[in-house]
Amino acid sequence: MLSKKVILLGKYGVGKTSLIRQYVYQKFSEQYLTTIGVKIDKKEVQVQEKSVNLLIWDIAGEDSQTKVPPTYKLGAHAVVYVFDLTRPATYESITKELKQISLELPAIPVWLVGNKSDLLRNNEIDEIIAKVSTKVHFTTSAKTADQVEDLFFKVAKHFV
Amino acid sequence: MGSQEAFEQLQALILEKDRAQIDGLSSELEKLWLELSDQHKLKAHVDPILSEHTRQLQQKFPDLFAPFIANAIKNSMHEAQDEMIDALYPITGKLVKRYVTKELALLSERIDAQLDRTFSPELWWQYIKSLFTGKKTGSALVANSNKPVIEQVFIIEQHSGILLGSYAKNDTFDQDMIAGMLTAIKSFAKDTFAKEQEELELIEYGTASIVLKNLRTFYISVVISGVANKQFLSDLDDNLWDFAQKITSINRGEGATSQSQEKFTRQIENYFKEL
Repeated sequence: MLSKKVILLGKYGVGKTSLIRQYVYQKFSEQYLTTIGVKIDKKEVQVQEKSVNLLIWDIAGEDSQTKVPPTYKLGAHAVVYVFDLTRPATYESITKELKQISLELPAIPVWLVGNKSDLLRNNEIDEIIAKVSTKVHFTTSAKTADQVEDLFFKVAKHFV
Repeated sequence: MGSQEAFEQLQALILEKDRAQIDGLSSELEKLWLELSDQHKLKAHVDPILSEHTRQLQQKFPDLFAPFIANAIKNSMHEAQDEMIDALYPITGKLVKRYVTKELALLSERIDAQLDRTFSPELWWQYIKSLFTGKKTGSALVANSNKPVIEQVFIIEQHSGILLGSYAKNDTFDQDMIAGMLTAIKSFAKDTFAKEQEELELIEYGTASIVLKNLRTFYISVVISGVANKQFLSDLDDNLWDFAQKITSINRGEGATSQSQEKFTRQIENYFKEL
């Protein structure tokens, strides 16, 4: 079985923990509890008859990627960068943030994810995506589970 | 008939009914007052009503008052933390004391059992050894009574925290998660406290300790129960170097990450279960 380290990055309150909770435990809570340090979960994914063991590191959100302890990111095989579709402050400096990640983790795939899609209409989501300077791979909702499974499946599929 | 008399007669005629009513009410009021003044009579009236209310209150009490009481208790606890600590301290103190006493009793039993074998060749050998090495027989006896045991061994990829192989004497919590969290703790220590090239090498909790042997691409984590003295740790260090050399020589040209977990697990089991 393949084991891969996937790290979730992004500013605080964007829903990283909720995305993992929805994906691993199929649960969602409106209550916000800030992540302290790091929390690790795992999920086995079947991709084309192969098993991929995703070790998902939920790293506490910070204002800037420079503040995230660098050793938490070391050895990552994929990065999921999450922003909040309803809070421009979480995606306004996205190019700078992604550049910082690529400096620390060169040649590691990064999936850009806009979360909390349940709070917006489709046309509003499209407008926001157009504003984001980099390609947004998924617009997810940890609350309704929309696109959550697809996101992690795509990450796992990348390793096979 | 004077006009005054005629007026009074007229008044008596007009107010006759009212006066009778007032008289009746006065006597009723007097009766009521008497009943109110008489505790026994009042009790007979009030008791059934109070009983009914009490019964209803008893039934509805949890719904009506539980949230207020819980809040009040919570607030009191919050506001009087020092007093609570003062109140609980003697109780927890006693519990700790009882636990320590029990543990000392167990230790004493073990030492007694050792002393019972006083005339055993093993103890005499220990005694002779202590004469030459200067190591106290008592210390040796205590150490023997709580010997260190290797409970679990994990071979973990550096940085990623991916488990490459493991050995556990008993069933444990998810080993992938343990490997990940150990790596996170190591990363945290490195980011926060360590200088360049320094690594976390030992974690201790209670009577257990985790020894971390860092190598270039992976690290070995050994969970030990019991008292791991310096000699044991030194021997373990030698064994870990020896084991690391064996697995790196096996992995040469192949890379540690491509080895299957099963193969590693077998190697680890074979090596560490003998220790």
